[in-house]
Amino acid sequence: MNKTPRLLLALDVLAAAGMLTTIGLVFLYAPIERVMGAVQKVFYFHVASAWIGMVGFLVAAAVGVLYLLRRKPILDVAGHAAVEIGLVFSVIAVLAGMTWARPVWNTWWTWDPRLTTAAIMVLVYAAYLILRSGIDDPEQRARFAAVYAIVGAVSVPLTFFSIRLFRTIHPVLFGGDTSSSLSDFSTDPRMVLTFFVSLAAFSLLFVAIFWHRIRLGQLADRVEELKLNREEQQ
Amino acid sequence: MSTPDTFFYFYLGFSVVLGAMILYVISLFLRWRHLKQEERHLSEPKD
Repeated sequence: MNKTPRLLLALDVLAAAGMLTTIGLVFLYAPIERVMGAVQKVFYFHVASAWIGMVGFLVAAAVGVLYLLRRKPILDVAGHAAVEIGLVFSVIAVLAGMTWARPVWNTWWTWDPRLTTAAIMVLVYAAYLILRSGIDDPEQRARFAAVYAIVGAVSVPLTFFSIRLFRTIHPVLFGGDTSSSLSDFSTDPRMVLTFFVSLAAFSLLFVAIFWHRIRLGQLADRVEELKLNREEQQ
Repeated sequence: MSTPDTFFYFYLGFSVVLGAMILYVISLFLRWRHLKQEERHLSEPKD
């Protein structure tokens, strides 16, 4: 627990290099989109953050299923970590989307199906963190969190597919209408490369942060155990 | 049609993304340091 594993340190370096490469590509390599101007470049961070957010929530659901089957405390720690990271990156995606929307849609926020489902998803997982912190018994808390993460994961596909299921002004990146402003980006290979490098860099960052967050959760459990032991001694 | 100047919003979006990520990583570090101190304190034999 004390020493950071070498593989994790290597992951940290790789994730940092990936992020620096992404920033370099976004600023220096990706062209400025003709219709929206420079703000279109926010898209590289917005989509990658949203991707990590959804991956975090799906990992939490998968880990929740495993917890219910095996009842290992590490799985609860991992589920908690995945939700926290998913929530942070989902909020980042929403904020980045808002800065893009202001000049393009002429508003920071609108109750479009994608924005609404994303907001609901964020609230669902914010409630997860609040509710689990209110349960003292570790086993009950872990069981509750696992079930909540599984049920809450319904909001992930709902958010992802909302732009295909409902009428929306949000751009559809893959398989969308060709008149969509972002569909044109696929014609420029520099944009495509920057986009996929950004996705890969954020994915690496997720793995590194997830590992760190699990270690933090394990340390928190150990401190909790020490506190209980000391109380019993008194 | 000329390309609009939306650099301000690009820089704003970039600052929000990077700033939030850095804040989260700092929070992880601070929480880790705090818990380590607490662990050391609790592991010390009580007088």
